[in-house]
Amino acid sequence: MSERIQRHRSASTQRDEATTPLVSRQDQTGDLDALLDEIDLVLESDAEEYVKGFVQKGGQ
Amino acid sequence: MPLLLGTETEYGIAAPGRPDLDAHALSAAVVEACGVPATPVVEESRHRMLGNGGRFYVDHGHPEYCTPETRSASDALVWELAGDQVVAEAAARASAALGSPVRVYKNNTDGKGNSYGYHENYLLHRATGWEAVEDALPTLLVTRTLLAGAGRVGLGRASEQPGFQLSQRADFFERVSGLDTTQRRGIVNTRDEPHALPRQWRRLHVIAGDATRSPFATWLKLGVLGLLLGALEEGLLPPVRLADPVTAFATVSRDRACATPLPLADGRTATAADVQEELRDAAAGFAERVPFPEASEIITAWTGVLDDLRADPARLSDRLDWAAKLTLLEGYRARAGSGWDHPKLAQVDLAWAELGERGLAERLQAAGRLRPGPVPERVEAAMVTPPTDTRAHTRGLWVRDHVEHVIAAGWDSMLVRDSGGALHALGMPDPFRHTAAQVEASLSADRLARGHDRRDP
Repeated sequence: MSERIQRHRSASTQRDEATTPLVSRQDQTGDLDALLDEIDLVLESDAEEYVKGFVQKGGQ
Repeated sequence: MPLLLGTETEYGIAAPGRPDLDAHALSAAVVEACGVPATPVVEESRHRMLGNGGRFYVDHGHPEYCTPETRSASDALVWELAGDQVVAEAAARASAALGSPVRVYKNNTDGKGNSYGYHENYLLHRATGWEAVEDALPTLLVTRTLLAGAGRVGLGRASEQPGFQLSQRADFFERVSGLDTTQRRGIVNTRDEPHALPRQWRRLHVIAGDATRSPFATWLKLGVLGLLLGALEEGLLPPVRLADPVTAFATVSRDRACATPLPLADGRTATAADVQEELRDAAAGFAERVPFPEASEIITAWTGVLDDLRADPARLSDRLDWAAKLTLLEGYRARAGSGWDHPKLAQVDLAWAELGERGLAERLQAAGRLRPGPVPERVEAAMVTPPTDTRAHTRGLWVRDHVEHVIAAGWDSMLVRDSGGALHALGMPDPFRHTAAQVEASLSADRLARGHDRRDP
């Protein structure tokens, strides 16, 4: 019979400064679209060729 | 245990439209084009020690950079980023020399069945029994995937199935433990080459981690494992153990919701997040008793990540590679109205890893969507300056300021020739000696050699 071990929650339930998002939630969707557009400009036009051409030797 | 760590990165490399240049030739061209102080390329050997105390060479058809030895996760991050920049700039120079682009990638697979490593090295006391390490490590590494996975489009070694997974490396590990690094890889690598006094030190060589592009993720990946190894050495790790780490590695990697219960050795089950929380608690207990660099920052950051994993993993797109990548990929998938087999997705996965001005991770940092890394000045300095608090200081000093005197340079010794032509074998078996506190940077080669002889005859 298996049982889940009890989760040990962090003592702090308040999100501290370290976890506050850099961009507010309502701005994020619009910003994401703009970012995807920006990235599109950098990406090679032939996606398949870019990926197909990437062959590596097995390393460690 | 004083923390001492360093990382090794094998970079992917490609020269589009140049089938005449094989991986070895390309890698050699990049190492030869190194623009920072380094030992010279001698005959066929593309193996160079750098003025920052690190190492730059060709390994199995990849350019590889090793950081110097560092004493904190933050320093390891700085010197690792410095290496990325050394390699990116060398690739740019090689591109100019060859007349066509040479691109380098910080990732771990080509999606066609080949994998190459990101290796982490942590110094442990020899007195810490290997059995304890081998017993605990698979659980630590497999569950750390939640924090440290770089993300990967494609499931299976050759991406036979469409999909997305958290880890680049999970599909390439088929045993719990083993010596081989190129096939039949074990989650625990048993290599024992300490490059230091063997009766005192062991160098734990970890090969199962991913290369990450988010500076926060890289720092947390190293800080968390360093802290857990510290707890292990004090006997403070909890006994939680995965029953089947190899299967669990794939399970955790393919579970985007991060919620699948994993069988434990004691018959219970737990999710990877449950296990990480238990480990985090133990690490916090250890840090209260034993000083450890950045312990408080690491535990705070780790806790924030674990809390966000429970609430909504999408929140982690500003910190973790796999989450940031997934946000982009879901965006493109929605635009294309496609599944995971759309070629754009594999393209973005690869572009994420590309070094240089086309790098997506840099773009996300500039856009404020990814936590920024150390300031550029620190990274640039680390391209040419070694850490001051390990033997890398002395190694780097010789290579940067007195390379014409260097006959040979390794991790734990060097052979130099003074201006009279006499040879000096400089042994450095203790990685915590030969630091800036003991070795003045402004001395001449002759005085450096004589000083070393006097201190360590």
